[in-house]
Amino acid sequence: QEHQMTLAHVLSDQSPYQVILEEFKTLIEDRSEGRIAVEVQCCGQAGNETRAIQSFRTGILTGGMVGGSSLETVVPAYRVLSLPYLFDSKQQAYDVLQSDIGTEMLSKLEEFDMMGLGFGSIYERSIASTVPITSVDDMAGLKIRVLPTPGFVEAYNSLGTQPTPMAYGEVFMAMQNQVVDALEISPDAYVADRFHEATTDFTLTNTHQSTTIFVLSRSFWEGLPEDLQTMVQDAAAEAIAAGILVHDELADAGLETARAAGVTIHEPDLAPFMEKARMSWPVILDGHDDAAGFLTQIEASLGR
Amino acid sequence: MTVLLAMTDRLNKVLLYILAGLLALVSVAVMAQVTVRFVLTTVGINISAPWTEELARYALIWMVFLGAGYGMRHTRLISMEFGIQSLPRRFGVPLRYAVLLLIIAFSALLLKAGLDFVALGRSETSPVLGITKDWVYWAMPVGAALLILNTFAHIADTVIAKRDIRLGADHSPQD
Amino acid sequence: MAILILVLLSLIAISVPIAMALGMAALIVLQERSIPLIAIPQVVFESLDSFTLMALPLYVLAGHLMTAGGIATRLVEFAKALVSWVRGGLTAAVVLTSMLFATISGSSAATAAAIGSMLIPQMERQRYPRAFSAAVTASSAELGVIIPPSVAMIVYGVTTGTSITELFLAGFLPGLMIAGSLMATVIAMSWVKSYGERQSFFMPDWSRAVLRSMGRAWASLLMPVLILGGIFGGIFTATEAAGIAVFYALFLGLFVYRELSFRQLPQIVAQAAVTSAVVMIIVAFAAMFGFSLHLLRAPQAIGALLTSMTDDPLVFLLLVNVFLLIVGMFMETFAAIIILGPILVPIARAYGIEATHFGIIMIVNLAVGMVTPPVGVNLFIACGIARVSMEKLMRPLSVLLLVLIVNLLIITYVPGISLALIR
Ligand code: NA
Ligand code: NA
Repeated sequence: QEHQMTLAHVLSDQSPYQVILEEFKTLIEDRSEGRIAVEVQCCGQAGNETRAIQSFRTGILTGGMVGGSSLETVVPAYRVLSLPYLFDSKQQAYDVLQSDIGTEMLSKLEEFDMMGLGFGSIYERSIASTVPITSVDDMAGLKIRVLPTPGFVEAYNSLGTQPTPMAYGEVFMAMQNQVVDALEISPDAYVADRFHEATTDFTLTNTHQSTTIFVLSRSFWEGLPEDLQTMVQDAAAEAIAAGILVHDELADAGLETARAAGVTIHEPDLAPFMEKARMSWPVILDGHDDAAGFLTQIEASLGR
Repeated sequence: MTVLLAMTDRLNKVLLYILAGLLALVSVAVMAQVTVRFVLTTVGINISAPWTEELARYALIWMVFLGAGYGMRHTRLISMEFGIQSLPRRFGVPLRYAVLLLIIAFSALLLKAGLDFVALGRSETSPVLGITKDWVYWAMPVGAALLILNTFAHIADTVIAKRDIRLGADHSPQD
Repeated sequence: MAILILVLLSLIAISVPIAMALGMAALIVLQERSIPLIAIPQVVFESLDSFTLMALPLYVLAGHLMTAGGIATRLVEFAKALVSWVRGGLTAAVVLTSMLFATISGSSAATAAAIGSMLIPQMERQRYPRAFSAAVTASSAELGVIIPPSVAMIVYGVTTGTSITELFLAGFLPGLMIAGSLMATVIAMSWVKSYGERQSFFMPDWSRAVLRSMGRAWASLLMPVLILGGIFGGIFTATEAAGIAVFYALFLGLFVYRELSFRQLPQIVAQAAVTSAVVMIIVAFAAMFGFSLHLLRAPQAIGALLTSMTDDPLVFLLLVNVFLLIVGMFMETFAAIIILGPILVPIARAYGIEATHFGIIMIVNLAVGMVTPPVGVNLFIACGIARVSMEKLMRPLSVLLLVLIVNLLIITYVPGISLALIR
């Protein structure tokens, strides 16, 4: 083979990330007739997402799947992606990100020695809790573990909760001991990490449509001949499509498993949640003109 | 040599105060977080202070590198010295000097890699405080420079005092 | 991989600091795989950038403040009042104080130093042989890392991704069991050899003494309640409890006991910072070493080797225990946990052993290593204070080591002792 690719992600070997990267491996090794060989490293073996991104930039890793919120620390424009209720639904998010706006966002990676092959599955993050949450008023004073980035912290501040930073590994015990009352999480991770055993309620607030991106190291990309570049681009697009299907199934299955385990699933009216959470937008975007520019484009495309 | 040694030790003294300051900062930040969560919620004030956590983590990183750099002055980095001490003097002493040179060479390499990382950090932003990460990443090259300086200081001190270079840790000041 | 491990061991044997030896060995793999050097800071910073790890320097600082601020002295007086009337009572008090001290201190070295410096001279006055006093101090001080809070558990939890709170819960009963059996042993040894002076027991005197020392020590005794109660009751995380421990010890030392002055503080805090930094720098470079093992697929290879030897978890645990006891003779506890934890835990999981239980096995085992020659930090401290050579210590120590190893086997093969409080 002429090109060896090492692709990494932090989720389990049963996750949609793994599906995308394995599918990509199968497609590209077959179509390039062995000119490209791929190795997939799951489960954070190559480090957490911050380190993985550093490794893409320095060429230690060829690429992998990472969350948009992790890239936000490098690509300031991506802050827009962690706005709560940026999109009204998951489908809307997919549509916008597959359009020219998405392509333009991916091209932002080049300045930072990376190359975006496409947006992957979107993780709808909702609230798992030990107390029922049926309306936005129930959020008042809720001690909730959130991703430690401004898009999440400020959103949950606006919703009246008390976001508590905490290492993910400590959350399970903290839930059991009621150090925190809730965490925000996607339904598949909720079940995969056994949180349905430590919580009683799952409220489909869909606060964040959390994006994922298939990223390559720019130095690797530029070392590929043009025919292989096209092949990689196409294989990635097909692999992502396969991963999105699997993710949607897993998310539904997660809710089902939770329900079967006795967790109460709430579907409250989201309008009051949206209204409150969106008040955090100016705070989150403060001083980030790039991100604000993308917001204007997205809003325009949605006719808001 | 004596003058240089004295200057290094003056620097080390300042370093001790910085180390104390960093650990104090970590303690205060953690305490602030607890206070925010318990005391203020109890009286009905709902604020969140995620910056305390980030600040504490970064202070901790600086503390580790500066503390390691300082620790080399009295060879307090954890090592196994009983092997080299049980060797006869004429083998043990040259071997110990070779080890000290190896430490200097490795530190120089850390300095170089650390500086490259600082350059990378200029385009990374910390999620909460919003500072560029080179502020954090400087800890490694600075710590490595201190390691080099203090290894030389340790050698100089031992030679001047005519002590056995193999017994470095036995002359550490007590905690 | 064999070369990598050989290089590491040689570097450690010729006195290269363990942190650097780990980094240097890893460098060989980076070179071979032509991975740029910037991988070093990437891995090192990732491992240090952790909220959980923050508990480590805080418990170290709390320990320093407790000793300097008069908390340790009050605990000693309380323990003495409770048990000093039995034959060998003063040695029983050493175990009891170690146990009390361990509920607030995260380290064994600190426990050995604090309790040894107060009680070994007193034991000498009551004509206990110095070697016996030193052996008792060294072995009971290992409770420091077994009874929570524990710096060793924090290190294990951070490097293997195990919940620190669960580890703390799991260490509690094994710690009590070890303390109980050590106490029984030292009393029995004192009876057999007629060590120390026997005081007559007079109930009113005893209760008056206990009450008086309790009156002096109550604020110190509140500290374990606050810390362990807070963690076990789920009020704080382990890191937050460490922060509270620091401020509570500071408050008692400065304002209640007034044995601490503001002028001493910079020195105490700085020393705690250096003590923590030299442990944490090993954590950082062990991550680097782990990364190089990952590049070589080493954990898989070691796992395959072990599974080819046995598929019985009981035999596996026996092998691991023998291996760790040998490692513990030569290697410093934290370094051993940091290097071996991430390699052994996935293998243990494959045998169906819980990471929390396995952590307790590792920690209890390597804590025994603190009391085994030639490298044993508790021995160094206790011998230093008692002014005896390590050879003289061997006879009384061998009995106590035997007790510790029996405890280790029980903890290994009865997982319930570790896991009872968790579920
Ligand atoms: Na302890
Ligand atoms: Na030992």
